[in-house]
Amino acid sequence: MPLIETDSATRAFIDPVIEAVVVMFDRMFESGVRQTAISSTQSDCLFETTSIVGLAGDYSGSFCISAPNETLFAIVKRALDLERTEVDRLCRDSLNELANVIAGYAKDRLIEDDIKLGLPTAVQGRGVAINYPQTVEPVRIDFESDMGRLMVVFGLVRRTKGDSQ
Amino acid sequence: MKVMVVDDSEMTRMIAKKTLKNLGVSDVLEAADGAIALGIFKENPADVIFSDWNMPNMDGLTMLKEIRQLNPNVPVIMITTEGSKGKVVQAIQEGVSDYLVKPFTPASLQEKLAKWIGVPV
Repeated sequence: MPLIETDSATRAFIDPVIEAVVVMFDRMFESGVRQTAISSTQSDCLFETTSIVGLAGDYSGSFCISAPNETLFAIVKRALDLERTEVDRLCRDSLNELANVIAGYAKDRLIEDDIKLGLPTAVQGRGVAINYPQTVEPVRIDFESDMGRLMVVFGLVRRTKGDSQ
Repeated sequence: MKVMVVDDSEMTRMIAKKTLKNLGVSDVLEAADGAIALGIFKENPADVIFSDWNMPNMDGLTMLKEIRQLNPNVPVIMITTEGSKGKVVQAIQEGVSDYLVKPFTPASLQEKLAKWIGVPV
Protein backbone atom coordinates (compact mmCIF):
# COMPACT_ATOMS: atom_id res chain seq x y z
CA MET A 1 0.00 0.00 0.00
CA PRO A 2 1.27 3.48 -0.78
CA LEU A 3 2.45 5.82 1.94
CA ILE A 4 1.09 9.36 1.83
CA GLU A 5 1.84 12.78 3.29
CA THR A 6 5.52 12.03 3.10
CA ASP A 7 6.84 15.48 3.91
CA SER A 8 3.91 16.91 5.84
CA ALA A 9 4.19 14.21 8.50
CA THR A 10 7.82 15.11 9.12
CA ARG A 11 7.08 18.83 9.05
CA ALA A 12 4.27 18.42 11.57
CA PHE A 13 6.76 16.97 14.01
CA ILE A 14 9.18 19.94 13.87
CA ASP A 15 7.51 22.33 16.31
CA PRO A 16 6.65 19.60 18.86
CA VAL A 17 10.26 18.40 18.75
CA ILE A 18 11.69 21.89 19.31
CA GLU A 19 9.28 22.44 22.21
CA ALA A 20 10.15 19.03 23.63
CA VAL A 21 13.89 19.69 23.62
CA VAL A 22 13.46 23.06 25.32
CA VAL A 23 11.05 21.74 27.97
CA MET A 24 12.99 18.54 28.70
CA PHE A 25 16.35 20.31 29.01
CA ASP A 26 14.77 22.68 31.49
CA ARG A 27 13.09 19.90 33.49
CA MET A 28 15.94 17.40 33.45
CA PHE A 29 18.97 19.64 33.63
CA GLU A 30 17.68 23.14 34.45
CA SER A 31 19.49 24.08 31.27
CA GLY A 32 18.51 26.61 28.64
CA VAL A 33 18.75 25.37 25.07
CA ARG A 34 18.19 27.16 21.80
CA GLN A 35 17.65 26.00 18.28
CA THR A 36 20.49 27.17 16.03
CA ALA A 37 19.67 25.66 12.65
CA ILE A 38 17.13 23.58 10.82
CA SER A 39 17.67 21.85 7.51
CA SER A 40 16.72 18.92 5.38
CA THR A 41 19.36 16.28 5.24
CA GLN A 42 19.90 13.23 3.10
CA SER A 43 23.33 12.45 4.45
CA ASP A 44 24.15 10.94 7.81
CA CYS A 45 26.24 13.72 9.29
CA LEU A 46 25.94 12.77 12.91
CA PHE A 47 27.94 13.45 16.07
CA GLU A 48 29.88 10.69 17.81
CA THR A 49 26.95 9.04 19.60
CA THR A 50 23.37 8.76 18.41
CA SER A 51 20.25 7.38 20.06
CA ILE A 52 17.69 6.00 17.64
CA VAL A 53 13.99 5.52 18.39
CA GLY A 54 11.84 3.66 15.90
CA LEU A 55 8.36 5.06 15.24
CA ALA A 56 5.36 2.85 14.60
CA GLY A 57 1.58 2.95 14.99
CA ASP A 58 0.01 5.58 12.70
CA TYR A 59 3.51 6.50 11.51
CA SER A 60 6.61 4.83 10.23
CA GLY A 61 10.05 6.34 10.65
CA SER A 62 12.98 7.08 12.91
CA PHE A 63 13.75 9.70 15.52
CA CYS A 64 17.37 10.32 16.53
CA ILE A 65 19.30 12.47 18.94
CA SER A 66 22.99 12.81 18.27
CA ALA A 67 25.57 14.44 20.52
CA PRO A 68 29.33 14.93 20.65
CA ASN A 69 31.25 13.31 23.48
CA GLU A 70 31.63 16.57 25.40
CA THR A 71 27.87 17.05 25.53
CA LEU A 72 27.38 13.51 26.82
CA PHE A 73 29.96 14.06 29.56
CA ALA A 74 28.22 17.30 30.54
CA ILE A 75 24.82 15.58 30.65
CA VAL A 76 26.11 12.82 32.94
CA LYS A 77 27.82 15.42 35.12
CA ARG A 78 24.70 17.56 35.36
CA ALA A 79 22.22 14.72 35.91
CA LEU A 80 24.27 12.40 38.08
CA ASP A 81 27.25 14.46 39.25
CA LEU A 82 29.62 11.90 37.76
CA GLU A 83 32.75 12.65 35.76
CA ARG A 84 33.25 10.87 32.46
CA THR A 85 36.14 11.13 29.99
CA GLU A 86 35.11 8.27 27.71
CA VAL A 87 31.72 7.35 26.33
CA ASP A 88 30.54 4.37 28.34
CA ARG A 89 27.29 2.54 29.03
CA LEU A 90 26.04 5.30 31.32
CA CYS A 91 26.67 7.98 28.69
CA ARG A 92 24.79 5.96 26.06
CA ASP A 93 22.01 5.20 28.54
CA SER A 94 21.64 8.90 29.37
CA LEU A 95 21.32 9.80 25.69
CA ASN A 96 18.76 7.01 25.25
CA GLU A 97 16.70 8.34 28.13
CA LEU A 98 16.88 11.85 26.74
CA ALA A 99 15.68 10.56 23.36
CA ASN A 100 12.90 8.64 25.09
CA VAL A 101 11.48 11.61 26.99
CA ILE A 102 11.88 14.07 24.12
CA ALA A 103 10.21 11.75 21.60
CA GLY A 104 7.50 10.99 24.18
CA TYR A 105 6.80 14.65 24.81
CA ALA A 106 6.76 15.48 21.11
CA LYS A 107 4.39 12.67 20.24
CA ASP A 108 2.05 13.80 23.01
CA ARG A 109 1.67 17.08 21.10
CA LEU A 110 0.24 15.15 18.14
CA ILE A 111 -2.64 14.00 20.26
CA GLU A 112 -4.94 12.93 17.45
CA ASP A 113 -2.45 10.37 16.25
CA ASP A 114 -1.26 7.09 17.65
CA ILE A 115 2.52 7.02 17.54
CA LYS A 116 4.23 4.08 19.14
CA LEU A 117 7.82 4.55 20.25
CA GLY A 118 10.32 1.74 20.18
CA LEU A 119 13.00 1.31 22.81
CA PRO A 120 15.90 3.68 22.13
CA THR A 121 19.19 2.24 20.92
CA ALA A 122 22.48 4.11 21.16
CA VAL A 123 25.08 3.69 18.42
CA GLN A 124 28.52 5.23 18.06
CA GLY A 125 30.16 6.60 14.94
CA ARG A 126 29.57 9.58 12.69
CA GLY A 127 28.78 7.47 9.67
CA VAL A 128 25.95 5.45 11.13
CA ALA A 129 23.20 4.82 8.59
CA ILE A 130 19.71 5.47 9.89
CA ASN A 131 16.75 3.81 8.25
CA TYR A 132 14.10 6.28 7.19
CA PRO A 133 11.13 5.55 4.97
CA GLN A 134 12.27 5.61 1.37
CA THR A 135 10.25 8.64 0.32
CA VAL A 136 11.23 10.79 3.27
CA GLU A 137 13.81 13.52 3.41
CA PRO A 138 14.79 13.68 7.08
CA VAL A 139 14.85 16.97 8.98
CA ARG A 140 17.82 17.95 11.10
CA ILE A 141 17.47 20.46 13.93
CA ASP A 142 20.60 21.72 15.68
CA PHE A 143 20.60 22.94 19.26
CA GLU A 144 23.10 24.67 21.52
CA SER A 145 22.95 24.56 25.30
CA ASP A 146 25.28 25.34 28.18
CA MET A 147 26.14 21.63 28.12
CA GLY A 148 27.14 21.72 24.47
CA ARG A 149 25.73 20.96 21.04
CA LEU A 150 23.33 18.27 19.93
CA MET A 151 21.11 17.57 16.97
CA VAL A 152 17.77 15.92 16.46
CA VAL A 153 17.14 14.17 13.15
CA PHE A 154 13.88 12.56 12.19
CA GLY A 155 11.86 11.43 9.23
CA LEU A 156 8.45 9.84 9.26
CA VAL A 157 5.42 9.11 7.13
CA ARG A 158 1.84 8.51 8.04
CA ARG A 159 0.71 4.99 7.36
CA THR A 160 -2.36 4.22 5.38
CA LYS A 161 -4.70 1.43 6.38
CA GLY A 162 -3.32 -1.86 5.31
CA ASP A 163 0.34 -0.92 5.66
CA SER A 164 2.29 -3.58 7.40
CA GLN A 165 4.19 -2.47 10.50
CA MET B 1 10.31 1.39 54.25
CA LYS B 2 11.49 -0.44 51.18
CA VAL B 3 11.05 1.03 47.70
CA MET B 4 11.78 -0.69 44.40
CA VAL B 5 12.66 1.27 41.25
CA VAL B 6 12.16 -0.58 37.97
CA ASP B 7 13.52 1.08 34.82
CA ASP B 8 15.76 0.00 31.97
CA SER B 9 17.44 3.40 32.14
CA GLU B 10 20.35 3.32 34.53
CA MET B 11 20.28 7.12 34.65
CA THR B 12 16.65 7.16 35.75
CA ARG B 13 17.31 4.50 38.40
CA MET B 14 20.28 6.45 39.73
CA ILE B 15 18.33 9.71 39.88
CA ALA B 16 15.39 8.00 41.59
CA LYS B 17 17.66 6.24 44.06
CA LYS B 18 19.48 9.45 44.93
CA THR B 19 16.19 11.31 45.34
CA LEU B 20 14.73 8.58 47.53
CA LYS B 21 17.85 8.52 49.71
CA ASN B 22 17.57 12.29 50.10
CA LEU B 23 13.97 11.78 51.19
CA GLY B 24 15.11 9.39 53.89
CA VAL B 25 14.40 6.09 52.16
CA SER B 26 17.43 3.96 52.97
CA ASP B 27 16.30 0.69 51.44
CA VAL B 28 16.03 1.10 47.67
CA LEU B 29 15.90 -1.96 45.41
CA GLU B 30 16.67 -1.65 41.69
CA ALA B 31 15.68 -3.67 38.66
CA ALA B 32 16.37 -3.09 34.96
CA ASP B 33 13.21 -4.81 33.70
CA GLY B 34 9.97 -6.37 34.88
CA ALA B 35 11.30 -9.92 34.99
CA ILE B 36 14.17 -8.96 37.27
CA ALA B 37 11.81 -6.94 39.43
CA LEU B 38 9.43 -9.86 39.76
CA GLY B 39 12.25 -12.12 40.90
CA ILE B 40 13.38 -9.59 43.48
CA PHE B 41 9.83 -9.01 44.70
CA LYS B 42 9.26 -12.71 45.33
CA GLU B 43 12.31 -12.87 47.58
CA ASN B 44 12.26 -9.40 49.03
CA PRO B 45 8.88 -7.61 48.72
CA ALA B 46 8.96 -3.82 48.52
CA ASP B 47 6.43 -1.52 50.18
CA VAL B 48 6.12 0.66 47.08
CA ILE B 49 7.14 0.05 43.47
CA PHE B 50 7.97 2.74 40.92
CA SER B 51 8.09 1.17 37.49
CA ASP B 52 8.75 2.28 33.93
CA TRP B 53 6.30 1.18 31.26
CA ASN B 54 8.38 0.32 28.21
CA MET B 55 11.18 -2.08 29.06
CA PRO B 56 12.84 -5.02 27.33
CA ASN B 57 12.15 -8.63 28.42
CA MET B 58 9.09 -7.83 30.52
CA ASP B 59 7.27 -4.48 30.35
CA GLY B 60 5.72 -2.68 33.28
CA LEU B 61 2.17 -3.77 32.61
CA THR B 62 3.05 -7.46 32.44
CA MET B 63 5.07 -7.12 35.61
CA LEU B 64 2.13 -5.40 37.30
CA LYS B 65 -0.20 -8.31 36.51
CA GLU B 66 2.30 -10.76 38.00
CA ILE B 67 2.84 -8.60 41.08
CA ARG B 68 -0.92 -8.36 41.63
CA GLN B 69 -1.09 -12.16 41.76
CA LEU B 70 1.44 -12.08 44.58
CA ASN B 71 0.21 -8.98 46.37
CA PRO B 72 -3.00 -7.18 45.36
CA ASN B 73 -2.32 -4.23 47.62
CA VAL B 74 1.26 -3.09 47.13
CA PRO B 75 1.24 0.38 45.53
CA VAL B 76 2.65 0.23 41.99
CA ILE B 77 3.28 3.64 40.48
CA MET B 78 3.99 3.77 36.76
CA ILE B 79 6.71 6.12 35.58
CA THR B 80 5.73 7.24 32.11
CA THR B 81 6.71 9.77 29.47
CA GLU B 82 4.29 12.50 28.51
CA GLY B 83 3.53 10.55 25.38
CA SER B 84 2.31 7.51 27.26
CA LYS B 85 -0.10 9.27 29.57
CA GLY B 86 -2.93 8.01 27.40
CA LYS B 87 -2.10 4.52 28.53
CA VAL B 88 -2.76 5.44 32.14
CA VAL B 89 -6.45 4.59 31.89
CA GLN B 90 -5.55 1.13 30.67
CA ALA B 91 -2.95 0.81 33.41
CA ILE B 92 -5.41 1.78 36.14
CA GLN B 93 -7.87 -0.77 34.80
CA GLU B 94 -5.11 -3.34 35.07
CA GLY B 95 -4.44 -2.42 38.67
CA VAL B 96 -1.79 0.29 38.65
CA SER B 97 -2.12 2.59 41.65
CA ASP B 98 -0.86 5.88 40.24
CA TYR B 99 1.52 7.38 37.70
CA LEU B 100 4.46 9.74 37.64
CA VAL B 101 5.51 11.63 34.51
CA LYS B 102 9.15 11.59 33.40
CA PRO B 103 11.30 13.46 34.07
CA PHE B 104 10.09 13.54 37.65
CA THR B 105 11.12 16.08 40.25
CA PRO B 106 12.05 15.31 43.87
CA ALA B 107 8.81 17.04 44.90
CA SER B 108 6.66 14.87 42.64
CA LEU B 109 8.35 11.69 43.88
CA GLN B 110 7.89 12.80 47.47
CA GLU B 111 4.23 13.58 46.82
CA LYS B 112 3.58 10.06 45.50
CA LEU B 113 5.40 8.46 48.42
CA ALA B 114 3.44 10.51 50.94
CA LYS B 115 0.19 9.68 49.16
CA TRP B 116 0.74 5.93 49.06
CA ILE B 117 2.54 5.38 52.29
CA GLY B 118 0.17 7.66 54.10
CA VAL B 119 2.76 9.73 55.90
CA PRO B 120 5.14 12.43 54.71
CA VAL B 121 8.70 11.25 54.22
